[in-house]
Amino acid sequence: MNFDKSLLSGSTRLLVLSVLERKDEYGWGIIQQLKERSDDTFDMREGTLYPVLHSLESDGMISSYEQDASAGRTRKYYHITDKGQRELARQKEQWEAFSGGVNRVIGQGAFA
Amino acid sequence: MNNIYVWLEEVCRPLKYKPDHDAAYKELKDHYQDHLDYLKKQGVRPNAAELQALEAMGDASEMRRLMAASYRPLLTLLWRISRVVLVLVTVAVILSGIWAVIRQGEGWSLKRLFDDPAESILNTMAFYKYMDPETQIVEGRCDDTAELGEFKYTIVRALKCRGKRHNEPETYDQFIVLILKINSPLELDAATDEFRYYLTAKDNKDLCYENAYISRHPGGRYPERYVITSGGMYRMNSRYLAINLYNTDQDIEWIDLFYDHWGKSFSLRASFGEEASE
Repeated sequence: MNFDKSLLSGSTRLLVLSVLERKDEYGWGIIQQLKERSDDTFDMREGTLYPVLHSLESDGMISSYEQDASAGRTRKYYHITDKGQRELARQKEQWEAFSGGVNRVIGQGAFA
Repeated sequence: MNNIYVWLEEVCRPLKYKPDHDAAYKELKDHYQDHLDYLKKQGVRPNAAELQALEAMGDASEMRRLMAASYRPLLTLLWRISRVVLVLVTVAVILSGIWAVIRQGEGWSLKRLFDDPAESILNTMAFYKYMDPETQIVEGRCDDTAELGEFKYTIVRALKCRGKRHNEPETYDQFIVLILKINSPLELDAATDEFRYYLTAKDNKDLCYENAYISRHPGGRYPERYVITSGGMYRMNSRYLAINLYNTDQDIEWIDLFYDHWGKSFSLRASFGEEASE
């Protein structure tokens, strides 16, 4: 489904942190995880992902390290920090309150 | 734009710090390569896969703007500077340690720093250069501790030897050096410096040693037998005072050190007899 980009832009940090909560990932892996876990709903573009990753790293929410990959290449993996965990919990709580409110207003009440 | 390298250069242009630029460039290039490999595995023809993977990277101008917005060169710079400073400090500490070990016994050294300050006083007071080279140092003993209020006084070293004071006409058959340790609950203040002016001594033959600073004889000469003190702060809350007694008797057995000032007094005995050497 194609939907308004602004719906995604406000929650990209929440989505990226949620992926990294399960395991450390590199950029391409994060996009694939988002795609799989959302049943192809979220097809995040590279132009969206990397600025978010760099911003999260600057804020201390995630850290990065290099790891050997196949064919002699190295990959930059991202790891959620304790500060990132706390931020994720805060954003999840906000999202649940927000989405519950939206659902109640539009009459579906899935989170109500 | 149909070339990934042109796209990468365009997007990474705002990253002026080379290591950051290179890291972002490599990461995005790897991402492109991952996508390309994925598409090829899905059976997409190479040319079409390259175009598709490049298109997925997004608009270069927009990506450049977003990269510039998320880039904080000052933070990166500070982080890197702090790491360099940490490395430099570590290297400096290690080199200082090595230097101290190499120079041990020659001027400043770790040994000097951590050794018994009483020894340090003996080494630095130029006491040895006045000694007769043939002399034998006799080590005395003092087990007493005197207390004045919160202060505690102990003679931690007592040495006896023959010698001659530098630039003085008199020759003294005997020196005695007492190292007095003064423990105080607080860091000593300037007033405590006066303490040393009120020290006198008497030996087992009732010969008195006056304080040279406050009992100069007419003409500026010291008395026949006298006490001179020198010392300094070596550690917080403790001070070591070197007390030199000049012209003591050859076969002296013990010395009593007296302090008496403003109604406060104590005495400590240093023994040099057979009892002391046992």
